[in-house]
Amino acid sequence: MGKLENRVAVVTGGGSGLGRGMCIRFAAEGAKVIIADLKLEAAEETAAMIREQGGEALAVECNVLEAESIAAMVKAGVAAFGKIDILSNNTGICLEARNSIRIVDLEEKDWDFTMDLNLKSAFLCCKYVIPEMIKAGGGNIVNISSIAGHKPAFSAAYGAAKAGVIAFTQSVAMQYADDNIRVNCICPGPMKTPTGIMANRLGIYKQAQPARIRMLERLGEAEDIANAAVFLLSEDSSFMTGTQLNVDGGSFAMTVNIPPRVK
Amino acid sequence: MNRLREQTAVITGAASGIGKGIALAFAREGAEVVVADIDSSLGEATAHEIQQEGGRAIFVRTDVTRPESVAQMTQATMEAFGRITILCNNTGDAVEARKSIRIVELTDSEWNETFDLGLKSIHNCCRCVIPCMIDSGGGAIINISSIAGTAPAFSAAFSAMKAGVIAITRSLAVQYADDNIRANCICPGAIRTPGGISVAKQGIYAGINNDRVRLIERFGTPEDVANAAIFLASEESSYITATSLAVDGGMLALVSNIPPRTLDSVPKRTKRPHKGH
Repeated sequence: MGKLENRVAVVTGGGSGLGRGMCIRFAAEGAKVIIADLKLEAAEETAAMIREQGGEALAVECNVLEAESIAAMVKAGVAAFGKIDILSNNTGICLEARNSIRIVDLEEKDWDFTMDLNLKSAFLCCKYVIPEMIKAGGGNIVNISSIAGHKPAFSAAYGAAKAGVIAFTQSVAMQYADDNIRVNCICPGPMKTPTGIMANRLGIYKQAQPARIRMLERLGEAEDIANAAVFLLSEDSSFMTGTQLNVDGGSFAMTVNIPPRVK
Repeated sequence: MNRLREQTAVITGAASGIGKGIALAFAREGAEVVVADIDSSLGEATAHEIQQEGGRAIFVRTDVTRPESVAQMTQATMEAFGRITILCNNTGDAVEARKSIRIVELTDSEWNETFDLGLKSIHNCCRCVIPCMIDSGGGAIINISSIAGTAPAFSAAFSAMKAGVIAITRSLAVQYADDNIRANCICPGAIRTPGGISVAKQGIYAGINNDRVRLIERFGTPEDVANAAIFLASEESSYITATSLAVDGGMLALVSNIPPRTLDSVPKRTKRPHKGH
């Protein structure tokens, strides 16, 4: 018996990285999964992986920055599976780390895009999914923040957006507690995903490489985040809401936040 | 349900309350359990309950404030099971909340007892158990702190002690990461245990009973804390160390930390008014 039996989950950014890991794991725990991704082909790939292991999945092309696109995704999901009671807001990007840029050099559109993809996407998805959760009698939301959200790192816009995700998580937890909706967030540390590796190589951790930046000497895997998400979405955490779970190999607890050299 | 198979867990204060819930839950997940407690009759009963469910458990009478007693418990555990891979430091008492006293009324010995039972006990247990964990190839330490450790409440010594638990958790994680030992803590909110109920009635939450103090409208249970402990003890959390996990029904996320009225004017607990029909 899986931990998410009879549940229907929306995972944004489910076509790759952490999102794909969550989709596959949620399905293994018995959930039907709606894979929302801007790249339909990538979403289809994840869906095929789920079906291969005997699960049910629906791939939907979805732009989480556009309300109509989200509304259509929600509609398609409910049409396919009858309800939605899990939402994983997982989309995000760290442009600054990719290009190692500071705020003076950060373009306004890049600031906007960072805020939109990391934070506004969570707002829009909640806006359209929460009414379905209320109809279903309740639900669970897990937002993917970052350890940069409570200990800001080099990337200013990214840190601010991810801090916003933590605050947003607490507010939504408060607003919909009486509707039997729990809302929590996960703060990943250094991850072995395409984005994480790029950030490692080019950006936030670049200059800190020779020093020890986390206690567990490996990068996190998508599976690590999926495990934490299953815990937060299942009945195992039924007394937890509005909280954050660090999945970071201990990097948040390290006292020294080594600023990378900028010259 | 074998998330802790081939693990041996020492749980202090496991005779009752949260510790008992953790002991039962760990055993159901396949772990061998050592019920370490100063209370022999309740401790034996917990071990017996586990055995009746088909689990493996022993009770060892332990005074966690005394290093010799902890050393004996560790030795007894190694003799019984040959390894220790999980340590759950769970002992603690909130004397200030029980008695509704502030620091002027708090005696020197009450201050010491609070710290000895809640914090020094972690040092005592880790000193004895960590070498066994290293011999066993690594392990997981789970300390029970409190949301009072991050958002200090009425009880001063208790809050300071629990903040210390969070700090020692991080230090343990740093010191023993290379020995394949992870250390995390859980910060429970209002939990339905004999101790928790007395605290809720007489102490920290007394002044705020009529207000909403958490988002999930129930008391937490030992099982809620045990579920989090299983997660932190199992391989599912193998990339998680040095962190703290709030199991508090959303208390920490509430903005206002309403201070209870001080002693003379502590309002009597009144029933929540019935909603209209």
